[in-house]
Amino acid sequence: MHLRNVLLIFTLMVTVILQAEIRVHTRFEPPRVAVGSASKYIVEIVETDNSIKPVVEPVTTLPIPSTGGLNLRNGRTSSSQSTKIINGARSYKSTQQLIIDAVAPESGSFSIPEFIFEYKGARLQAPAATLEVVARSADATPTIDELIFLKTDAPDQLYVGETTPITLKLYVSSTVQMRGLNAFERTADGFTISDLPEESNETIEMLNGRRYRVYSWPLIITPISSGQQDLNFQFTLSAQMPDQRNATPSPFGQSIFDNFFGRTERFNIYTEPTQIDVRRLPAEGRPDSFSGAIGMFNMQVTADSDSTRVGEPIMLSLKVSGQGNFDRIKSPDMPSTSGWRNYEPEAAFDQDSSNPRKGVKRFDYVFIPENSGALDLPAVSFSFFDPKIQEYVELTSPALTIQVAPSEHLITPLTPPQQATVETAPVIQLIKQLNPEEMLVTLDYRPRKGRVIEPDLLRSTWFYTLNIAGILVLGASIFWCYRRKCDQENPDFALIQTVKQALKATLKQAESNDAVTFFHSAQQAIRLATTVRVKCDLRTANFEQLESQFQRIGLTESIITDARQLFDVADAHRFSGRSESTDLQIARNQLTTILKAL
Amino acid sequence: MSTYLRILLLYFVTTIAALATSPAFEQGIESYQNNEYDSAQAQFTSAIEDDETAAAQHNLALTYLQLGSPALAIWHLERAQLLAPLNADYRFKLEAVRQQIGLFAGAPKWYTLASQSLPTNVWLIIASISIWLFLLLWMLPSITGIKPSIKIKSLRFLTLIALLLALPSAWLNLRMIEAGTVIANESVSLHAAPASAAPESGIARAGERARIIDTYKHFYEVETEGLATGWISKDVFRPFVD
Repeated sequence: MHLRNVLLIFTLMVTVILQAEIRVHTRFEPPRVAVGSASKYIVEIVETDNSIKPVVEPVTTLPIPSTGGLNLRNGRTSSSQSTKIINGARSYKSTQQLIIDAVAPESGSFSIPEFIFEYKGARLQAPAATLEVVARSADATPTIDELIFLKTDAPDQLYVGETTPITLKLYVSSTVQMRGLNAFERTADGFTISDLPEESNETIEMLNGRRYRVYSWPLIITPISSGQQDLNFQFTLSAQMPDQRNATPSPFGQSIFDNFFGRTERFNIYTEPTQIDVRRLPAEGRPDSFSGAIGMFNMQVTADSDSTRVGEPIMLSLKVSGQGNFDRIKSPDMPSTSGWRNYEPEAAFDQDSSNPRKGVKRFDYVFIPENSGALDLPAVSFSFFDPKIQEYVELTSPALTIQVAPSEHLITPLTPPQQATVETAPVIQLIKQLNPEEMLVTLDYRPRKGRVIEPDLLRSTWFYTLNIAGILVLGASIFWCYRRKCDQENPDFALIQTVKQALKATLKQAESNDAVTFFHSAQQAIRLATTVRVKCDLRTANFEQLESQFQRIGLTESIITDARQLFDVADAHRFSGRSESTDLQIARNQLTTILKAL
Repeated sequence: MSTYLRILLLYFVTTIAALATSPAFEQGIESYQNNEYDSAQAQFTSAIEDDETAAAQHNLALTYLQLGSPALAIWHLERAQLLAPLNADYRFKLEAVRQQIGLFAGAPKWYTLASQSLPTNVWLIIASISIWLFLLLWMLPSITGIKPSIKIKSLRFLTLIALLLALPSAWLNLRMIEAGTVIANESVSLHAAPASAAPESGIARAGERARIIDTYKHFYEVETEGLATGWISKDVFRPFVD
């Protein structure tokens, strides 16, 4: 049973493997070029499968055994996928292209031999490819590399930590119209490099009989690793090449229409592959005072006074001037000296505006004398490595003698006598700034819930509901205000509002148990309610006028009878002058019925 | 009584679970400290799948940096920056890694930082409320013929200011997440059409930011920081938000 399952799985796997096919092609594009022109060496990995869509596995390196004398640079990848459906049967295809620019130094036939590389665990064979390079004819138009190129004046050899200025120069032939620089890239893992200045210096140079506009950018490089280190730069730029039809100069001079026939294209311009031999500083002969300074420096040590009093500070200034890597120069350690207490120095750097490697770095040390007498300040040593003579140089200043007078104040020592033997306070580095390398290995140990990135609100129903509600509230408010304004301008509306308020007050009075007050209020309430109903001023109407209105609006006969009775009783009370409390319940019920009917 | 006890117990258990850090996150830190970067990468990835935090994204970025994949490190630092936009450490590291692989530091402008002070959704709510309140305060006094008081005028001014701040901020925040970075460690080609056989229209550098203009099948149409425009395969470009 188990054997049968194993065989079944094996058969399925074989079927799947057979269905998936990986092929590798290599070619030069174009296969034939003139000397100096670049061709693309393309390694194409094509995967086809009838069951599942192949997943492209990015290839980052190719073990090319030999370049065949070609100069290969600017490797990049490109991938694509496609699906075909023929008579309902699907077939999937994915293509990955590894593209490298190839330039030949001379004419001839150049081959990149076949080689084997690993892809998805399989060993694939890339076939050999050949590039034919022919000599350029004497009257041939110049290549792009001759019209636009990039150069640096980097030295062949440097020491680790040696700061060096270089100039990056972009040569653009006067026949080329440069439209703009799009991107700048550098390949220099073994160096720290200053940022590319936004503005360039523009000059004109003649080279090989051609006139070039030269754009220059000053850069400062500092090697950080030893060995052969790559230092390559690349610009992506847009430029308009001269039109081929206008390659031959016109006997009538250049026409203003010549530029319209060109086409703006994007180009990647590289420096020639450059390697700098970066050496470690020799361990032999390195002075103890060496802190990384490389260049050529002078040292000057001064004190702001040659006399002081006990407890009153004086300043010892150390000035290092010259040319080199000032950013690596640290304050020289000041040895403990009997009779002096000193503090960490303040550092300031005054850079030369024309040359960033030149300047004066100053360290100010504060010394406070603890005893009186002729006291010597400590001798100061500063050393650097001079790359010209390839040796360390140590500069030492003699100890300065300061006359220290007794203090004018009587000082009671606060410290116990046994601690008074400690001559200088121990210098402890309390604050240490992390450098970028240290920061880039420091994890974040506190996971906190971050912000919601996805714009869920724009996809949520309630956001739109909120806005629709906003529209409705706005619309309703506008409608209500408009109605109210219109009503207030209408005299009938004003009458009704007044009468309604009067009716409320009258009904309140009708709650009285005094018969005269009740019946008077009841009569008035019926008049007011009728006014509201018929929207006509009946506040002083008699019953006959009211009755005609009751009939007009269609009140029942019983209601009209009740109203008449109420008015009669009210008149009787009013004109008889009786005011004693009687049972008003029946009259109240009648009033309620009449008002409800109205 | 027992029901209350159960509820109380459940409350404590869920509270402790919420406060506790993900075990994968802790294991990732341990692996990283032992220089086992492959394991740390797997653990931080797992921690992000469980519960995405800015710290996990940041730590995964540093792990990729140790594994020699600076482009992926940049993507995860960008994502961490989106999750915690006010974290200056993340910003500094992102700029440092970008410079390491030859890109400009790309420090955000002051208005970008200001727009990130509040989440996009909050800006959208402020904009919605402000616009309706502003219209209400502007139109009602005109319709009713009432002269607006100083309070209404002040409120109008405040809503107008809130609207003028919220709309561009929301737009900036939304534009920021409609982007991505190149995750290949080498420069890759941009094509003039969504096919690798299409002519090359530019180069996108490793780790370079690009704004997504369009998408079609296995390709994004992007505009890079270097202003190159073209189609790029989804294998080598990853948007900040899927």
